[in-house]
Amino acid sequence: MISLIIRRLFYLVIVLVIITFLTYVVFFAGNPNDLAARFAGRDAGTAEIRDAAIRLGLNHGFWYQYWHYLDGLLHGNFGLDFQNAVPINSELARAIPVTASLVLGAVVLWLLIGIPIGIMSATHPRTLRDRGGTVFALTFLSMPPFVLGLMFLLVFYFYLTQAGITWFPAAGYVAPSQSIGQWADHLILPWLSLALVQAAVYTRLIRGSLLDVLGEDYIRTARAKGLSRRTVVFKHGVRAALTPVITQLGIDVGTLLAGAFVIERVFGLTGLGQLALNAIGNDDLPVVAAVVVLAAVFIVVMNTIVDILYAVLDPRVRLT
Amino acid sequence: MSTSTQGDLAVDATDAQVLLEVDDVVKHFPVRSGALIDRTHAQVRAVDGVSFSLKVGETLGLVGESGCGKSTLARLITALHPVTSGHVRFRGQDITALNRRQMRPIRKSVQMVFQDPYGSLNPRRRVGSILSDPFSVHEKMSRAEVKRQVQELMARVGLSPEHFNRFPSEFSGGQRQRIGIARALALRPDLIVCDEPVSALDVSIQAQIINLLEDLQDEFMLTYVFIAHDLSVVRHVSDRIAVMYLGKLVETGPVEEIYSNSRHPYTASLLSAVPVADQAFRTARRERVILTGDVPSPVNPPSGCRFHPRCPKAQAICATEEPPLEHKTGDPIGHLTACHFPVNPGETLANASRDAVPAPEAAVGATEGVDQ
Amino acid sequence: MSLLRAAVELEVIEEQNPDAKGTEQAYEGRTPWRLAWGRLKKDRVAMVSLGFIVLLFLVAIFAPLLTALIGHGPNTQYTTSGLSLSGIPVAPGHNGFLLGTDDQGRDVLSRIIYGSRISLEVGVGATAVALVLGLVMGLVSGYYGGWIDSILARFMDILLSFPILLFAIAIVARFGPSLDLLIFVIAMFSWPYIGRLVRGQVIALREREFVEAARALGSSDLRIMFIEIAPNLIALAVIYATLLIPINIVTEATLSFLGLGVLPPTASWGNMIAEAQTGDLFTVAWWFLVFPCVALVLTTLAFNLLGDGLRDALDPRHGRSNITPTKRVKRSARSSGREKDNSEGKRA
Ligand SMILES: Nc1ncnc2c1ncn2[C@@H]1O[C@H](COP(=O)(O)OP(=O)(O)OP(=O)(O)O)[C@@H](O)[C@H]1O
Ligand SMILES: [Mg+2]
Repeated sequence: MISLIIRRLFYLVIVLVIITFLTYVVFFAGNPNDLAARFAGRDAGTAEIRDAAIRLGLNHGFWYQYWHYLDGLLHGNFGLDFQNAVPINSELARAIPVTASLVLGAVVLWLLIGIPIGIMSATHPRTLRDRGGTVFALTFLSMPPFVLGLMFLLVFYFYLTQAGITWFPAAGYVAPSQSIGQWADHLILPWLSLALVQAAVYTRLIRGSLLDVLGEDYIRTARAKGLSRRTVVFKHGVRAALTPVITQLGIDVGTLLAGAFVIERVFGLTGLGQLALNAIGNDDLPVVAAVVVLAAVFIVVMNTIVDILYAVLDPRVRLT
Repeated sequence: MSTSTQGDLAVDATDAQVLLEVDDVVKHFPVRSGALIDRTHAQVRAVDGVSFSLKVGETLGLVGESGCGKSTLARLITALHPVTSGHVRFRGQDITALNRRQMRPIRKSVQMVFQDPYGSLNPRRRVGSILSDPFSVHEKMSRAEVKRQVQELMARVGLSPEHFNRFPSEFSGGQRQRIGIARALALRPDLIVCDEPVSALDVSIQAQIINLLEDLQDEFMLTYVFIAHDLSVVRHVSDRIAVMYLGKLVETGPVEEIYSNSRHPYTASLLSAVPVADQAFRTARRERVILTGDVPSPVNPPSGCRFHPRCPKAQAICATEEPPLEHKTGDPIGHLTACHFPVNPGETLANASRDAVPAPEAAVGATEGVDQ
Repeated sequence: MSLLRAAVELEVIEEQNPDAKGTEQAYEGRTPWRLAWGRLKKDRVAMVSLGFIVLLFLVAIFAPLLTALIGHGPNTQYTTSGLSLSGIPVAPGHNGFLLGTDDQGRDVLSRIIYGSRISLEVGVGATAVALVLGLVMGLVSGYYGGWIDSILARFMDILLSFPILLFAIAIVARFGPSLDLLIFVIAMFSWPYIGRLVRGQVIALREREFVEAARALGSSDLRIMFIEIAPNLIALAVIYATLLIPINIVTEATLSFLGLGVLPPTASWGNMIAEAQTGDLFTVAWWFLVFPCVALVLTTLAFNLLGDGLRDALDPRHGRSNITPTKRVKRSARSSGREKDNSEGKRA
């Protein structure tokens, strides 16, 4: 168990080094004048560009620059942005809570929707309820989240508001410290847009794995011992059926984050995705790089955690 | 064991016509099944020291129950698996030491007909294409020439040449095995290893395929290793028989010797299981001896003689000392048996258990000990 | 995205013996493809989807002809007939605009027709590249095994755990958006879907007797990989390419929506949707948002349903199902566990 964790962590470090290196190469390697010109602005002269190159440290060798960049990252310092020469850290600090709220709420929501429907489908296979679950899954599986979000905006925000029902605000983000109610209210449509598509996947996942588990001998034995159906399904069945859910969650971290970035654009939320997209518009490479590295690190770390969690839950993995 | 086989080899080595020598070959597969930590230590001892030799034009019938290592031995002879130890010599050349490129000319001379006529033909390729492989790989021929050769080949094994554009799924089992035979035959090999070529076929078709193989042998001077899991099939085609049990040869000899004068209790019990159709060999002494218990696992074979837990004649020494494959007094030259207590002519094996084993409980106990 | 993500975990498709062993009967015309087509023809949902997709291809190919028939070019701004006096887009069915106009007075129908070109170009183009890459890498990884496989399989896993959007953001930030770059990015980061499936299949196929037979003949590794094994991957490739196309179409639409893909004025469904959203224009003219969305969703659905039907037709062992995601996700559950076990075992 310990050796597995150590192996995973070692692997994590290697992947992180590769990620930062690749990010650095994609964003900053190449012609220093090109970079310096971007930093100096559109109508800068050659002298200004040369100044900029020195300020950015572009006169040093590649490895020195990379090391410098890595050193900054290790100290949690993403450097200055090109646009306003302000610390990227403070921009990230403003954006992270928005994205985090979006992602966390969506995960909770999709599990709250997906798991019960999946359990219902599995405990009543081939009934009307099961069919209902299937139709639900099929409907949302072919729907890209941003399309769903826009449809929500159109129907729930626009048409309802037109009809005089102002349940949902259109856009924006309210920090939970200001008002929890407002925070949730502003996020409910983004959460739903992100969650429904994934909930559809999880419905099918739970249904399948629970049907498998319920068919196994020990469940039948438990039933035969006189335990109630409810107890058996929830105490034994669901617990076992959740293992694949955790695996899938690990796989879906990246999808989720990408979905969140897109949904931010749909609902005008100023999270990490918006930060990066705006920075692309402004040719502000370090900001984009910061978001990409942050997202990548998050994905890799989450995958590692899920792997370890999986090993804890599944003793077969632990033994190897 | 090796001493006696060396004697056997010495006899054959003087003969210039020896085509194949199998010398103490061993094949162990590492077991990678369980999640147990010591899993790397376990090994399937699929073939565990087998020796024999084969002359040009001869047919060796290799017989044994399912899982005893026949297919593995076949793959060692055709160099599809590397050996764990031992040597396989073809025309005196040790093919276990050859690399891929050096192996190429030998591939033309040693071919194999596979056990499963369904699995051995690529389901996504047309038969004409499958049969042109040998020519594409080894010969430089024009397309038209290849096609002519393929159609000739198809005709020779009894298929309609105009069917060369069909997929394997469009043929019956027997026809597919003919395709497999045609492929093996294409490059006019010297040795063909036939791995249970008929066991997946209907009984009515088996004879046709065996007749085809015999005709081809006469026509092309082929040498066969003919594998089967029961003795009735190989009798018609073989010159010599080798009986295999759990990775080892237990008895080998000329075909009539084995059928009329089998010395190993395992051979005797296999013979007693031969269907009634083979009346000639169901002599009075061959009461049906039913082998009790399953074949033990090749991962952990029984000590001493591997057959002892199931043997009606087993005694204490059988569990401790492994009997060498050797010539038994009174047998003709070339009849070798690996048994401490060979069956005597006229002995009724069905009664042997009562005669030879004083305490039946001991035998039962031994069986249980191995099953665990 | 999730559909194929789940499908990546799918177990290997095994070749079927249509009859029991030893059946002494020959079946003329029982070729693998003819059988599959026979099964597909009976699948009404799949056939309707196929019809829709064929139609979509025709529309894309004959886009100039169609828009000429309609009389409205995709980028022409009909400032008099296409916009009301106050500059509001014309509603569907008015002034000869079947699906209305957008904020610049352009014909939404013509733009959707031209948008289908982009969608199919990127969807099919990127999938084709991904397919070739995935087949080759999966073949090499699965066939050779050992350390080559460990590295390639790990590499594919890592690529799969990152969303394409992240790569697109990074690459577009540096090089600027363009159609070619879009196809490149999508292809480069979607091949592991195919690669992993192919690898699994190859690992099973290389143990088959017909591969041994080829080796017994002295066939080279290359020959075995591409002449023996590859033809057996076609069914798998057809199925999962059909499922990857809609994913790539959605990726294109998403990236174009974010301004990372096809740039206006070239019409793509994604940037049409983005334009409809700018300044909440869709609140005045819903058609300008809804119709490209409908085109996108219908296309995705059609490819998914066809892919599902193809799997049933080419892989009859799993029997008929009328439910797209069920089996796929269900099996993903079991085999993802198994995958983990295997990779664990190998690394240990
Ligand atoms: N590639 C392999 N890896 C591990 N074990 C193997 C392998 N091939 C064969 N074995 C094992 O070696 C033993 C002998 O198998 P083999 O196929 O040679 O038997 P056989 O006599 O041909 O049986 P059958 O009559 O069923 O064909 C079996 O226990 C089998 O499980
Ligand atoms: Mg065999």
